[in-house]
Amino acid sequence: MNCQDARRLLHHVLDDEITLPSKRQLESHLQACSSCRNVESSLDRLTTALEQLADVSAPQGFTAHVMQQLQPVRTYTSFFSRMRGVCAAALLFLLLATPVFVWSTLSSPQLVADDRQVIVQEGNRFIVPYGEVVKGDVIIYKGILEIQGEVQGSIKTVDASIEVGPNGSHSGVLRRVDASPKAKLAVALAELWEKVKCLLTGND
Amino acid sequence: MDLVDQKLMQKAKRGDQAAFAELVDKYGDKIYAYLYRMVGNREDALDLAQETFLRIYSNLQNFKLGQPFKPWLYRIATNLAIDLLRKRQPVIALDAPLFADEPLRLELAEQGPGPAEQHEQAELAAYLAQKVAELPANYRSVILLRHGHDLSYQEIAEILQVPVSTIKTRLFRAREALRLKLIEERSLWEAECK
Repeated sequence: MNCQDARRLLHHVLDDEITLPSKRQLESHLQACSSCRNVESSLDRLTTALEQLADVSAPQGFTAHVMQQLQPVRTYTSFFSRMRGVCAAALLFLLLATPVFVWSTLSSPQLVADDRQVIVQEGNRFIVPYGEVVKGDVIIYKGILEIQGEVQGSIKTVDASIEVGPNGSHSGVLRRVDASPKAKLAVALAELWEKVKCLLTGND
Repeated sequence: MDLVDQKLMQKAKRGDQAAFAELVDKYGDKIYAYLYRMVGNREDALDLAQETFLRIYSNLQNFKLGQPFKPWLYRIATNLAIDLLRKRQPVIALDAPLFADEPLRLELAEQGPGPAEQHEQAELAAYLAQKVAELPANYRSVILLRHGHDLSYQEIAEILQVPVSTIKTRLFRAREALRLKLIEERSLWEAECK
């Protein structure tokens, strides 16, 4: 073995990349060659000193400082798993509440109108008082619409009747509809929409 | 593969911050030391070390369990260091000579008084730190990762995204160059003493 080979092998030793036969050959060369022994010892000094370069500590409180800067990571999975209960409850509520609302709406007389506050209810009678003017459209379900004043918009009756008083008048279109499921649903949805509007705008 | 790391990463992925803090605690000093030797000053080293762990945290969900953690960590740190060095010196020649004319800035370690031998050792370390800092960045990262951070050829190749044969060549050349510098220094020092 010549010195060039030996020096290459000395590097391989540092990285544990040497076969046993090569190692034996290297050892016998080193016994005979003092200049390669010097290379070996200077390499040892070098690697020891290089390892010391890694002995630097981060400033105190490094970990705490890093932890303080962490932004909460919200992934899709964690967001939905956290919200799963709430979502399920809301969905269940909607599923149960809608038929209950529709049923309760349809079991009593209803009147849906843009000028609802003008119209007075007495039992199943909805009265437009004398001197009042209802400009918008009116839908009435299961009751009697008594017109003493004036209705300018169109009137739609579902399973309901109309009585016009001596001074009452109606200038809009009148449509009578049978109480088909479709018509009932339309009334219920119109009523629901009125309720939602009240909730959103805050007036009753 | 480090099973402790895998366990901690598994917990951290599930949102366990204490597990993540343990990882920061375990590797904080090493990453800081590595970056300090890479970029040459404590301020930048601290910034980059923090950034390294913040990136690990924000990429937790991309980490596949079973993938070794340590090379991933060092890869992020290395990329941050190289980016910073590029900003400082826009052109890094890939075939730059081992010792460029213009040395990188490096704060020398403070040396307190001590026994002569300890003093010599500290002086040697400071001298070597200077010489390592003067190495081109692609040689410097290889030599630091191999010595002091105990990463294998294969892991270093993964970190730097170059073939293992390139790692071997760079290691050999960098060690030879540094060894000769050490011998030079030692003979100077001995001549002074005589």
